[in-house]
Amino acid sequence: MEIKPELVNTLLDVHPDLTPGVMTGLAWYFLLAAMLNAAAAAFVAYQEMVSEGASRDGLAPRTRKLPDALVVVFFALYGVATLLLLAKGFLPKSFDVATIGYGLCALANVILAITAGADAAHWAEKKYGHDGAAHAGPATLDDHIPAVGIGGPINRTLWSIVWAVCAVIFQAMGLVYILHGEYALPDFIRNAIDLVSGPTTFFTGATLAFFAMYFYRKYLANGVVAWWMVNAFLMFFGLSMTDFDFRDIVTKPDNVPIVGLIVLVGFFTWLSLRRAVINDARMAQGLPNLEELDPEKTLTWPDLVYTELIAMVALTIFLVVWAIALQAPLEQPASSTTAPNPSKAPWYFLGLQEMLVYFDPWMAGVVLPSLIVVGLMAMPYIDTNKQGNGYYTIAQRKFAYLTFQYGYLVLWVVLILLGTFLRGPNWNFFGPYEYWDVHKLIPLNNVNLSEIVWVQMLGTRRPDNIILRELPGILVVLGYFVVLPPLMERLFFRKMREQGGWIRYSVLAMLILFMASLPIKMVLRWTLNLKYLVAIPEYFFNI
Amino acid sequence: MSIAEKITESQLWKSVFRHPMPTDRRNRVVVMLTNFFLHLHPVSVKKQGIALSYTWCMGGTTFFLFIVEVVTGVLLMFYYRPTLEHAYNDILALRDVTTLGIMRELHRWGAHAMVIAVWLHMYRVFLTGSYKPPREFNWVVGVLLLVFTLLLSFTGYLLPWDQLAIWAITVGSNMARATPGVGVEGPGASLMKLNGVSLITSGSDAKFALLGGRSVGEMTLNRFYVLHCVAIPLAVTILIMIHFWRVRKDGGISGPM
Repeated sequence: MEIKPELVNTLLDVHPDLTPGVMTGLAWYFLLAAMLNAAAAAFVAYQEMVSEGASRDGLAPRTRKLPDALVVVFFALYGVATLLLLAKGFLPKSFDVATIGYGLCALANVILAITAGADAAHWAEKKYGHDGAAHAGPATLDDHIPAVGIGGPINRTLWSIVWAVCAVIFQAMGLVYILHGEYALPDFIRNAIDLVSGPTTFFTGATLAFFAMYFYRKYLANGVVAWWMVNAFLMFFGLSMTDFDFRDIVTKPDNVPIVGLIVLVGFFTWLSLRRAVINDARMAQGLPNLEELDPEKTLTWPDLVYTELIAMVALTIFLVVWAIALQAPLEQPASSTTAPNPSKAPWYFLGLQEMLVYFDPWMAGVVLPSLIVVGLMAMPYIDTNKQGNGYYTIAQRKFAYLTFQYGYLVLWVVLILLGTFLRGPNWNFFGPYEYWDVHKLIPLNNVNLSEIVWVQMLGTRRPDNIILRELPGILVVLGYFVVLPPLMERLFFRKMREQGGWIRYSVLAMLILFMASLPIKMVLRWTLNLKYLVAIPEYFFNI
Repeated sequence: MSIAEKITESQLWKSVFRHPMPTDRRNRVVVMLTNFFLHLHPVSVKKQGIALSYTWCMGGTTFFLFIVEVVTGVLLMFYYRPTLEHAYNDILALRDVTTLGIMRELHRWGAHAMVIAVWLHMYRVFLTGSYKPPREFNWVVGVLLLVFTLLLSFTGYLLPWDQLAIWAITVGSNMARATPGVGVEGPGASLMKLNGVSLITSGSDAKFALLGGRSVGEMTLNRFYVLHCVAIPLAVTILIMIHFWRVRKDGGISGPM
């Protein structure tokens, strides 16, 4: 007899937030977070900091060297811990190797963090002295030359101490878990997050975050701000992993790459944003951009081939470790009679599957994906802007940047996240900490436009003639695709049309309108419960 | 004469490697010209063009992952039989008993990584405006490579023949049913009639062509296997050659024009 896992779960309540394995994992996760912050503290305290494109000329001498003793102590502690863990089999059982090894690593992190923070504070004191007057000291704090456009030099003392404190906090959390402290994310926080999350808040929030990223890019490009966000993500992710349901979804083998995707897309979006901000500021001052700084050529052997070799070796190691650590998923043998609920496409198509909520399959599965491909191909021919070729910039190509980024980050990546992590049985929305209940009922009271116009507004029954019945929707759709393009040309795209001609402009307008149709359809659904603008199920023609 | 010198001076060695180790400028130049694999590259490159913070190394990563997929894929093909009788059990055996069964893990995770790497490569090319003239056409080739990468991943998803596989493919291929004009539930299909006989039925529409049947079955497994192992890799290989060739012809690694 087949025993359904849901049944077992309900009977035994096997949804433990914390198990010994999870707690060990969390302990090491927070150890890593602490190590990252200790390293950040040491970097700010000791590293000679010259940002992209800033000149090293006239810098203070490198007096603030990373103390050798600190390096030795740090790596020695990690080394001893590694040896202990490797020699586990030879040591007596009563000797708790895992905890002691962990303790050594934690000690190394804390020593690094505290020394770095204390050293930075010590130098600040040396320079300014207790009487507040500046003294001629051996070390100064002004050798940090920020990149053009990133703002003033950062306060080394302050930020070494802040990152050191973050390291100690993360490390303390790790120690709680290794010593079997059962701390899970409080229920009221989980419930509150589940309560406010929904397709509406999630998508609107992502859109707002996107525009915030664009408008405040100058601040975001600053390393300090970015590191705060890294820490916030580390904390959120670590604490969320204490929730059974969150963990259950995130650690499904096929979902692990998406966690990697978030990290990589986040990092590269930030990196490109930073370089664009620096370039834009440099070009505004008449300086060459970062890509023009070094026009020299170099021999491919050894400079490029060695980089490639190292990249290939690193990638091979990465793949082999991943393959050993995580087994490829294999479920029950295929059965065409028992469909899993939810049935999901592979993760990279989940953005398209999410579109099925708002569009019929012929739009979400055929027309829109084809237009994505066609639109991408058409891009270099529509974009007549000659600037921004071969270097990072936002200011010189705002329209292209905003359009592409909105399409990629929000309409593609964010929808994949939504489809993967937040859509459960029957494609219902579930909060990040919500149990995927098959019986969750979401009332569906969506209505078609013909219903709204004929029945609700005009108070009559809907006409029998299909064309007449759907006339309101047909007019709306025709207006959208026929009236809007010339109107948009008048209002926004006059220059672009003059540059590229009517054919380029028409293609652009069509692509933009199709792209915008998704968020528009979403808003109509959330506000009017609108199902279809034009609904002709007789001919499978629903828009 | 030391043994090393004896070897490198031998006729055999010199017939393979035409030049001494590339330790001086001259030999660093000629090695790029006389080695088949290296001559993919130019002799010299722009310094900023190969900076990691500029290129992110994602195009090369994608290509390397493709090679990994080919090598692990060929090894898996030695073992796996695409029939209803054997497919699932072969995968099960790869997991549980087969020496080097880890090839499946390498293949699957490599495939996921390749999808991500392609996206990031295109992301970088967009953000640096490198699709602009004279590279427009190479961007188009790149978009085709993106589509084929996704199709490779999609067709491979079915091969383990487990619940995950057939239902993901079922969900994905249900879309084909709604293709305008040629899908049985697509708009316009009901108009395709000849003397009152429907031309587009569930036995003759786009979904049927894709699956080789009305639902995901043995013919689908066969079709996807051939697409996955022969047809698409061939197309991808040709497109990669064009892509690389055009990188060189269109001015090499991108940079400020």
